[in-house]
Amino acid sequence: MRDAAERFLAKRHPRTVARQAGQAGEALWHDIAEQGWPAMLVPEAQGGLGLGMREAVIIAHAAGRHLLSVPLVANMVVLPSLCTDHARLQDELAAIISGELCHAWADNGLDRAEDAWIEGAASLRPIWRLQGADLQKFAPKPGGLGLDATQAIARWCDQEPQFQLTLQHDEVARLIERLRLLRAAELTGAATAALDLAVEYAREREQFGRPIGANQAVKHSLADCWMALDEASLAIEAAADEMDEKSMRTASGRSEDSASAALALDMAQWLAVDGGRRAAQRAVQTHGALGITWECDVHLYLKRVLRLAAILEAQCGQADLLEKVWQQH
Amino acid sequence: MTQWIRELAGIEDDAAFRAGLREGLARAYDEFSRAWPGGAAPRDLDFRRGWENLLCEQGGAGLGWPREYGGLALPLTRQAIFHEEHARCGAPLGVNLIGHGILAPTLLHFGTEAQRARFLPCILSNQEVWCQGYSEPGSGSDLASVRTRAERVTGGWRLNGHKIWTSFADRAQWCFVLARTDPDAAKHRGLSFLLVSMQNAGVRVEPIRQLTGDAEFCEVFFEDVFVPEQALVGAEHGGWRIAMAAASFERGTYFIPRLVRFSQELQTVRQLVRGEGAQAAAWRQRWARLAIDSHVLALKSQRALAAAERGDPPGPEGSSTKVHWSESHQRLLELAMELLGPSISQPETPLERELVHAYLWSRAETILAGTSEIQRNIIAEQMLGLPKG
Repeated sequence: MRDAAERFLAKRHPRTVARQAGQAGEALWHDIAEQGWPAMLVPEAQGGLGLGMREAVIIAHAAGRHLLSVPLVANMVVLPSLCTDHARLQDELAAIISGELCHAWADNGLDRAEDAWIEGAASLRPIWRLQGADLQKFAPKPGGLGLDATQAIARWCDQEPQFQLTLQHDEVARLIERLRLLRAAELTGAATAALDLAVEYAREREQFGRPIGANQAVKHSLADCWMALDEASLAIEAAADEMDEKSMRTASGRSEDSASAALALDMAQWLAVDGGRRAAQRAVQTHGALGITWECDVHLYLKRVLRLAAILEAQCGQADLLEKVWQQH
Repeated sequence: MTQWIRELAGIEDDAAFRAGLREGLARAYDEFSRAWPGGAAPRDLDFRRGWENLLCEQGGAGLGWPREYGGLALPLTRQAIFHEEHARCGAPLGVNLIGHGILAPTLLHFGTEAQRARFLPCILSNQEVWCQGYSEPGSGSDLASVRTRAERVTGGWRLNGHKIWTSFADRAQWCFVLARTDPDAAKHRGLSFLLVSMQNAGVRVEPIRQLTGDAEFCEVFFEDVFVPEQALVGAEHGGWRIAMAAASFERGTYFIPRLVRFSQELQTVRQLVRGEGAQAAAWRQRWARLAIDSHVLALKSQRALAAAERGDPPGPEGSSTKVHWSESHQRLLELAMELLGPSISQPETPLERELVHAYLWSRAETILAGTSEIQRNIIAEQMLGLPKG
């Protein structure tokens, strides 16, 4: 699955396409939907692939690596929740699964609504938002490019929801946890691609008659970045396994509260934000003066990492995560 | 003494095997400790050797060896369970780890039948302790530059040289020595792997006192030591390959006892974190960061075990685990020193003494078995394909 996703995205979504996020649009979404990814987490009985988080983190990671310019992760996460009201949302679900419709997503959990941003905003994409236990649908809003030039966004403004769906308590928690983990995976994927660029550059760029990557000051810092991202990826996989096991327990009626799944998620998020940001920043430094140009692609990854880290941290900052880890042990 | 570990190995179910070990090891270690004058002394080398002897008597050696050599032929998952449960009961590592973990599998892979017959039974019973003659004063990280020479003489070689940082050489009966047999060949190509008796008249051992105050490392001097033909493992001048392979046999299980200890110490240090305010918050954060390290190290260890089980060739992931474990272990003990405060200047309670000793010893962990700097080179060169410096 990892290889297939890599091959598909390398061909369909090279960096030249990522750089045109403003226009990329619905043809791309259609091709993504053909891979089955938006409906990965939807049960097979409802037209999805019926896969778990273990598979979803692989796709989210690949989306980050390739700076995917459509809001795949948000759609993956919201779809299973929409399925809980299959009767009313049947047509909508079918449209998303077939690739005719893509949703934009407004992040929740912020203190002030005006600080929320709509990821993947475009004139044809209805916006979904989680407000408390209510999943609300709003009319589309055209997007523009912000700091992260590979994903269209728009600032949130209050409007009346067109549709509202109240989720069960467990369903709310599941949606939020899945979104956090997939964002962490996407972030790690983007940082991994930035590190790859830096490594490639350090192998080729010569100064004083040899590649700069032969110098320990350069190679050791890149080795540290590799370790940090490897650790984040391992922790993300482990958290995905915990979530899948928890889902299976819930499905079989044994819904004991899983502290270990929550802890695994907190640790994975901490590692992704910390390691991802460090690696992306180090990748700019490794490129020297070239790294601070618009032309060099490395800033695109840095900005994706920064945006995702900011969303994750707005809901739970790094120090708060550590406090949670302290308390949960 | 019954070989109860051997009997337990026949159990079908991994969980029952684990439960049996947990109970049996706890009981055996408790009995052994109570019989020891003054009680458990996990840092005392005689205590460690004594416990290791007992463990071998009870069937706790040769776990992965083939049955024909007296082994248990346990799959790696079972060996991992044993190492985990052994560490969990609080028992220290033995003094013949080199014999059990490195030399025995090396002989099983590369040794002659005569070498296996001569040496394996005495490792199984822990009668003979082994040490590893690799590093020299002029050859630390650059191991292939060793200058200890083995010159051809009738029936074998004459060995001359100076090894250093040799753990437990003063207790060892045998040493495997990486020596230069072809001074004209390129540096990796002229080395041989020789089994040398420490009882030879020309062998002199001088312990090195470490900053902990203990002396576990030694210098070893070889002066005109005769090494017979049958002491060569593998091909003459083919010692580098043997030495590299020897280092890889433990990769699936090496970190298991260290990670169990890490998580035990993590819980110990947690008890020391008290108070309110900014300093206490900073301590809690540092502790939580180390709890994340412990979590990820366990995941890395599982990955290494799975790779070893699949028979994958050893990769640079081992270097990453080494760096991560040794550096986070140092951070944990640095935190412990801060939490203990001025009482470290004259540690009195067993807990204080243990943590101060662990802190001091941990300074060696980023140096021995490949420094952090060398490990980062390996990661950068093998994992990322960066050029050698």
